[in-house]
Amino acid sequence: MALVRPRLNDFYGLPFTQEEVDFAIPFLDDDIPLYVDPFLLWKSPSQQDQSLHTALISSFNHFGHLARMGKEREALDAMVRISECREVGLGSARDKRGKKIGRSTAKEILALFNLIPQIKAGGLEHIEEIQLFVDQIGKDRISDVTCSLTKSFLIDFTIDQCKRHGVPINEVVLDGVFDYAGKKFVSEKLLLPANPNTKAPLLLVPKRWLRFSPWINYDEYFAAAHVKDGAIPRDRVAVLHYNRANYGMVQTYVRKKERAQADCKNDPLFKPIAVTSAKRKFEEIKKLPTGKSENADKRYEECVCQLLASLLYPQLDFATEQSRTDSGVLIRDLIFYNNRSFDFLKDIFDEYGSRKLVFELKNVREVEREHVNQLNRYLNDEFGNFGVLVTRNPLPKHVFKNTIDLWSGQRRCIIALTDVDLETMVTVFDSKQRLPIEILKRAYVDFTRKCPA
Amino acid sequence: MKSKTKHKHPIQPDLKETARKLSAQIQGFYDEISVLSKSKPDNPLNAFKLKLINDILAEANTILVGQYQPLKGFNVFEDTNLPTNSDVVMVLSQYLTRLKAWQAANRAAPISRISPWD
Repeated sequence: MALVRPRLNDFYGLPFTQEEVDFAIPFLDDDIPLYVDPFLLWKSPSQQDQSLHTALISSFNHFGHLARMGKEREALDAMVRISECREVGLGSARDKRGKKIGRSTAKEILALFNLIPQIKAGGLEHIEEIQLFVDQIGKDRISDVTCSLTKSFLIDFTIDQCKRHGVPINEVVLDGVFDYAGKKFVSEKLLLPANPNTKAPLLLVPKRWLRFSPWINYDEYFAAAHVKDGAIPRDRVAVLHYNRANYGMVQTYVRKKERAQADCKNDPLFKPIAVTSAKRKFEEIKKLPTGKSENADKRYEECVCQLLASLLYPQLDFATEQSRTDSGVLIRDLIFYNNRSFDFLKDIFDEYGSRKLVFELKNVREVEREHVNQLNRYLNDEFGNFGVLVTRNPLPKHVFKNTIDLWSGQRRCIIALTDVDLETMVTVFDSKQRLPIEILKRAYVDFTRKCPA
Repeated sequence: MKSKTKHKHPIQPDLKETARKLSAQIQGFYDEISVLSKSKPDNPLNAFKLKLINDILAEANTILVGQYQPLKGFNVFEDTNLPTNSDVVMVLSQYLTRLKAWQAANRAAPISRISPWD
């Protein structure tokens, strides 16, 4: 059975949540939808990060210097090489196999070191600036270049984190590690974690470096740049050409962004909704009719999904929302990773082999036996024998008895969360006196008390 | 010797002191949680407060036995049940009432005020 959106720690059964570790936990068949922003290194109070940024800029400018000194081929090769860093798995490439830039784009980048007098004289100060001069260069490239040129640090960071959290490591040969002192690329034999599916080595990236888009980015520059006489052209390539001839504009923009550095913060991998928003969502759920009229079921599913993902964070990391069809009925599920970060979660992991928690959403007035059976059929090796039915009202007696029978006969534990439970969860989410997950635990304890001894 | 035969099960003075102390403490909790309960009756009480209240109730249970038991089948709050502010206020008020009854029944009789050396 294939895992649903597996992460490295889920594969190895390591009990840590995203909140507890300093790195972004890699997915095994997907990329992390965030990017390394070199500006976060530049503005970091840590001398280590600042030094890494200095080394990054110096290495990048070195390739420009090489091109100017007549070693264009060597510089081009390097530029193409650093344009992709597969080991970190950031961005939006579904199969984790991004592509390198072409030689023509690399040539365009290197040409900046001849074309723009300020860069020719002093080099670039922020590599993000190349987005403002060269087409086809976006946030993913900036992130990859940063990772490629700081790979040596990332290796040390990865080994350290793996030791700390017990992530298995294997001997691998890593190509294209940039040797800062020798200014060349080398292959290194290292102990690194590997993707269990592809056996490709993985590098972990500090969470503090990640953002959805770089602080210095083309879209914002394009929206914010303003010239009195309207001389700025509106199409992207023309803007890039204009920038090359008007470096002052870019410099002014960069200075402005440097001054506003206090606002530049890393983006979390998951941001729970605010308390007011959670209350609003619940009020909406309460007003929704049961059944499918006016697409109430869809809206119910959307609201519950957003609500539960936030309410149960950080004890449960939200994995995914998925749809499946059972007996011709479309069913929506919420899947959470069970990282055993709470006593009750550890209990259900040990008792029911619950590696992932499945929540099935049912916007019905009364849950029927078939609904319980649908969830029961879905519970398997991956999810274990524990499932939650999120529904509007308490289970009718005969359906509840059905869940008890399932427990007695097959040791399957199916509990229900109702509107009342959701309301309590939102209440404690607001008051902070309790954790919303304790309401789930209460439902579980209530269920177990009613099971035969 | 006479007094010994009159009081087969004399209430120890320290038990009365304990009852007095518990009464004051439970009254304190009652007052505090009542304030919370007025604005948010359905809010679950946090684990820290609940533990303190449970410790006091457990101590009170050692005194309030038999006819003085405040609530049949109730011992202390279970943390997993997430009792709300109003639940706690209701139970504390029962404990206060029964503690008062116990104290009234065990008020110092004139004879026991006499020191043993009198």
